[in-house]
Amino acid sequence: LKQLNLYITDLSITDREQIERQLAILKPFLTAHWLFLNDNVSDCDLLLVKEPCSPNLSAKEVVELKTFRDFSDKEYPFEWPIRLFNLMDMLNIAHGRLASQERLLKQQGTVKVPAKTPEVVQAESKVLDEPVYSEDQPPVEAIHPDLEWRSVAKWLATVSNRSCVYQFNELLFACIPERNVLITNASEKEVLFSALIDSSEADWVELENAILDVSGTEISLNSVIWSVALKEPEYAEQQWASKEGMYRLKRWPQLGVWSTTPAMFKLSSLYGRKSASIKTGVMVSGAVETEVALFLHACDAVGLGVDVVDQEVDSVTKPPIDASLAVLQAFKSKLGI
Amino acid sequence: MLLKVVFAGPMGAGKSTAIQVLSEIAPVVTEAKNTERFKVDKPTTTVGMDYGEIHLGDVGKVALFGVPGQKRFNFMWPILVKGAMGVVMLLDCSQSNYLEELEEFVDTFRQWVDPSCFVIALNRATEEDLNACNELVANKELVMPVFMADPRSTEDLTVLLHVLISNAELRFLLD
Repeated sequence: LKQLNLYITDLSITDREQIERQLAILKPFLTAHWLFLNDNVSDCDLLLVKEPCSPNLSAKEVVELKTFRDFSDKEYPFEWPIRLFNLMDMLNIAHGRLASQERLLKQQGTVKVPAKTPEVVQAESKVLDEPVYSEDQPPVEAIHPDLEWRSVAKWLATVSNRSCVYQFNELLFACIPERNVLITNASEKEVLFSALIDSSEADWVELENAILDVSGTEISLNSVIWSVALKEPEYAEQQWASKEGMYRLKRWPQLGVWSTTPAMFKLSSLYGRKSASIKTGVMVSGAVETEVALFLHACDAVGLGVDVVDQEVDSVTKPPIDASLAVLQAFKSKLGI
Repeated sequence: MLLKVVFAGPMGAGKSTAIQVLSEIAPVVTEAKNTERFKVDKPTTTVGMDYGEIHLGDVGKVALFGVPGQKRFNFMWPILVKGAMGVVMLLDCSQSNYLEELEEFVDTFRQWVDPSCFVIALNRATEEDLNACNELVANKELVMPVFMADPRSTEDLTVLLHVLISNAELRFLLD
């Protein structure tokens, strides 16, 4: 793991101990190895600033601060004392951003090692009622199932509700919600899909004063969200497959227009017709559990509406051997399905 | 064994075109001079029904029926949809009253066919039309497949038939 340095201003000894303990707990879940600096702030990669804000922070740093968002699309400042999961998010986001900056510099052929400009985040000196960490908290192994995977598709669905322009490396996309399209400078839509799938939302920087008339490839917003969601198995499994609920679709997806598999026809028929469990989806469609979860996740991300219903008895049994089913199969074969 | 697929919808929606594209026999058509050109500007219209077939070898065939769009022929609708595996409801979204037509067809055909047998196909549609139709269907507390489709496109028609087949297969499993 790459080593990065963290520095937080104005810490008491107790604060330092707390941060060090939090870093130790989070270590297995961080994408980089973060070293907590006691001094020598010039070496830090991420600078967390407690209020009052340091007067010598430049305007540039303040601008960077504005683009530093957490995954629920809230802008920092963060609360102090900092919560364990907030710290984890912040460190992983910062690593993602630093890595993307590094890649950008490499792609631009920069030879000089850039002077370090630490990510700057400002803390609110709000004292929380509950302790950040206590001995009563479960051990790391017990925390792991609660760690949330993040969905770029859902982030995209959120930001695309308004006109906006985002950049990651040399890729740009602009959302035009009035026309339900996304315009990108990517040569092909697959290039944008890959970039979205391989990145996190933290990699994408919003260009706040950008002009929206980006010329380039125009893609249906929903088809982008759908395609990206279908490539998020970890998130889908966590959000859907692990639950015991029954699901019901409110609207059908645009099969044949968006990326489609044969199993999706059966899954749409099932969840459009009645509330059913993932298990029933597996039985009816022949898809594996993850595929069913991905389908539900994609339907949800694209805004079709997936109702989660309490327990209901599935009336589905194993498919009967029926002459009519044989005719339907022959019809499918005829259509080349 | 005979599977029946019915193409319904108002005049000019593309029902006859869809059957012509899909049929493996020369479609039987009952076109007559259109006396309602003030409604839809096309020279002829289906007054009886369109009929086409897709052959499935030894196991049977699929009969494709196109029902006449004019409401004065609505006495034929329940006869033609009886026993249908599915109903493709075609709409021309360039017509200003397409939402009223959709509502009327959904309400009418629901009397004879289970909503799970429907697929709604929107010809000349935009995403706005698609959303409007989905909203209308949702307001009736129904979940129906709604697609943009060009009745001249074999690919689009295949998707519609695939949906009907999946729905039919599900009925075997669920009912």
